[in-house]
This record gives sequence, structure tokens and C-alpha cells, in this order.
Amino acid sequence: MEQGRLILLVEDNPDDQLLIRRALSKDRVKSQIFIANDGLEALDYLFRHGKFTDRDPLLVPGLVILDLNVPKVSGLEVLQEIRKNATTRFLPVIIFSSSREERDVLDGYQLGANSYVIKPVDSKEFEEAVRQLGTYWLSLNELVPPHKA
Amino acid sequence: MFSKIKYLKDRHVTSSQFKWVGLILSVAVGVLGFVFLGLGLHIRDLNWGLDIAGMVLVTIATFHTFLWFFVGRAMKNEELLNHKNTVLESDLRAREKELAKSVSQLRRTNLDLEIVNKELESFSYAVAHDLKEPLRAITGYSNILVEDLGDRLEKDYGKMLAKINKAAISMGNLIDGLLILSRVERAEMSISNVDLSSLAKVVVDNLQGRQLYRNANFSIHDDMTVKGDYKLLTVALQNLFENAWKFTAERNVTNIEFGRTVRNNETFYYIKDNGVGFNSAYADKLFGEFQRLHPKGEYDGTGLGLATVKKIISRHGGKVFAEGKEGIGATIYFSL
Repeated sequence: MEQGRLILLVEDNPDDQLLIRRALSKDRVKSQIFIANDGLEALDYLFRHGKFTDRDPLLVPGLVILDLNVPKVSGLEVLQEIRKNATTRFLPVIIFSSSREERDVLDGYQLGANSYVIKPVDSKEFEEAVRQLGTYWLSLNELVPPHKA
Repeated sequence: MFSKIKYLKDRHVTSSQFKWVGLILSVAVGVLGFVFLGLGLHIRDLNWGLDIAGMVLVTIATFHTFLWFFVGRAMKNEELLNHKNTVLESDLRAREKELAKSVSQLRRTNLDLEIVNKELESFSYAVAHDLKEPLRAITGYSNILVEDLGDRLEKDYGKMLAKINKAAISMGNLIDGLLILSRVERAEMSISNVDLSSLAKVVVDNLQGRQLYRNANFSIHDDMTVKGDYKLLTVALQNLFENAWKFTAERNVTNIEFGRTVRNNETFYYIKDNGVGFNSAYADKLFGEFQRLHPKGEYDGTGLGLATVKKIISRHGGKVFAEGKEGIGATIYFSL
């Protein structure tokens, strides 16, 4: 697996999980998804804590798709931890949320999100948004090489 | 004299005490003086010295009486003043207490309001998040069915699925519209100079960008600067232009004008379109929440757009009204 082809999806809603997974599967750029059902699981996965202690350290996600409203550790706190840690500080993080609230958008960018995308209600738009995210961040966007990060 | 008053006051001698002591003292000295004078007349050997002593004592008594009289009066005045002051002070204290009570009550009300506002905010936050989640599931799964079953769907089931999809989408728009309306109602206003002309140009660019194929002329008057809340006025202009844009969709050429005019000595801004217009009998209904003048199938919309505009204009202390003719177009006027 090439670096950056792995997406960490932080999302607790199983319907959204399925729809995102389905949309990404349609993309010609094939990607692998790991789904964290809450913020804590996402951090454990990224930093190889808890049940992920034995995770392959070379399997580094190239993109995090983050819902703000997730259990245990909130999306914004997950983002904060990602930016604090030297190994993940350049990791692209896309906030993918239902919230149009100005406060959320502002908080997201202030904490270093790379992008903020509102989940469309229209399923066609939803699919298109996820597909475009995948294409842009996984194939167009250049990542910082892991040894420099 | 005043130092004496002060001295007496410090000793807590009241004017009535002073009055009696002074009177007894004066009478005693006076009587003693007359006794001396009398003795001086009777006893020949001593008359010279006693006469003088008697006269001195009478003089002292007289002087003392005067002093007693004036000091007593001054003391009495002072006491009266003090009394008045005390009354005033207690009155003042009572008023201060009342004021403090009102202030604390106001503070409590403010706090209550803040709590209510916070609750409303978290409520609409929950609405934004949680109400739209199931809608995404509805549209998502119905879309999957259409995609995966495709031709295998019998009769009009495909169309029905599309309708389910559309209904969920319009409910999503309704939720967004309600959120905007509630935000408009409770947003704190910050008043500054707002250039409506350039704001309108941005709004128009966005609209046209969405439907580039449409042949449209926009005429926006220059230098329309007003005092108002930038964010709220942006929402108002967005709604007004979207409205005009929507109801001119079927015209070969769309003409939309945004300008300024004076009516009954009041400045009004207007957005005029050559769209389908409306029956002027329903002019007032246009600004009601969930009021629509066209059947749902004909034009998309939540029925909240102009209600939101009205709310924004009335929060600015302005007026809004509409004029129109069916088949000719509509003009919406607002003042600020």
C-alpha cells in the first residue's frame, strides 16, 4: 500500500460511514478506509495506543475525514491532538460536518483543519463531495514525506 | 460660637439640655448680681466693692443670656439640619437599596436570558446536526436503491424513490431556513456602514455563477451605503436576490434592478424584477412564515425567505412592503 492511500474516517453514524465508504469506492483512485467510531479510537489508532499498540507503524493515513460531533473525544479535540504531535502535525484533516455554524467553521480552521466541508443532505451532492475530497487529497495533493514530518 | 457648638455636640449635649443649664446659670448669676447690688446699698462700708461686683455679675448674666439664646438657637438649627440630613440619608439608603435590588434583578433576568439564549443555541445546534442525519440516510439509501436496482424497479417505483429523495432534500432546506431565521432573530447586531451596492454585486455574482446559461441583466445603483449589521443585511440581500432570480427563471431575459427611491419623505431601497409577479391582494402574505403564493411543485422554496428579510428589516427599525402584478413582475421595497 502506497503512503497516503489510507483514509482515517472519524464518524459515529453508521449510515454516513456506509455512504462515505460507497462514495469513495466509486473513485478511480483506490483507497483503504479505517473507521474510528469515536474520537478516542481515532487517537488510539493514530498514536498506536490501547488496542492499536501492535498496528503496523508504516501504515500511516494520508487523510483524516473528521466529524465534529463524535463520542468520547470531540472532533475538535482530535484535531488539536493531531496538530500537537510531531508525527502527525502535517496530516491533512478535513472536517466533514452537518454544522453550518460559524463558530464550528472558525474553531476548525483555528485549530488547523485543512478544509471544512458541510455534509450535503442531497445524496448526489454528498457522494460528489466525498469523491472530490478523495481525488484531491489522495492524488492531487502532495504530502510531506514521512521522514521529514 | 461654632467651636463651642462643636464642643457641646461632641459631648452629646442636646440643645434642650443646653437651654436649661444655660437658663439656670444666667438666672443664678443674675440673682447673685442683684443680691450684691442690694447688699451694696444696705451696707455702707462695703457698697463700693459690692456694687461693682453686682454690676459685673449682672453684665455677665446678661451677656450669658444673649450667648445662651444665640448658641441655643444655632444648636437647634444644627440639630434640625442634622435631623433632616438623617432623614434624607435614610431615604437615600432606602433608594440605594431599591436600586441595588433592581440592578440585581436585572442581572438575574439578564443571566436567565443568557441561559435561554445558550439553550436555544445548543438546541439549534442539535437541530443542525441531529435532524439532518436521518435525512441523509433517507436520501442516501433511496439513491442506492435507484442506482443498484435501476431498470429492475417495476412500475413507478423509481419515480417514487426519487420523490422520497426530493422530499428529504426539501426538508433539509427547511431546517437550514429555520436555522437562519432563528439566528437572525437572536443575533447580536453590530452597526457599521454597509455598502449595499457592492454587497449586492457579490450576491449577484454568486447567483449567476450557479446558472451561467441564463441571460440576465442586473442593474445595481452605485453608492448605496447604509448603517446596519453587515451579516444580517447580507442575508437579507441574498434572500431578496434569490427570490427575484427564482421567479424570473422562465423569462427569456431576466431583468433585476436594485436601487433607491424616496416615498413619503422616506428613503426606500427596492429590488425590482420582471418575473411572474403576484396578485397584489396577497401582498401582505408574502412576508409571513411558511407563506407561499405558488404551488409547491412550481417553485422550490421554504416559504421562509421573505419572512427572514422582514425580520432583518424590522430589527433595523425599517419597513418592508411589496408591489407587483401577475405576469409583469414584483418589486420589494425596504427602508432601514
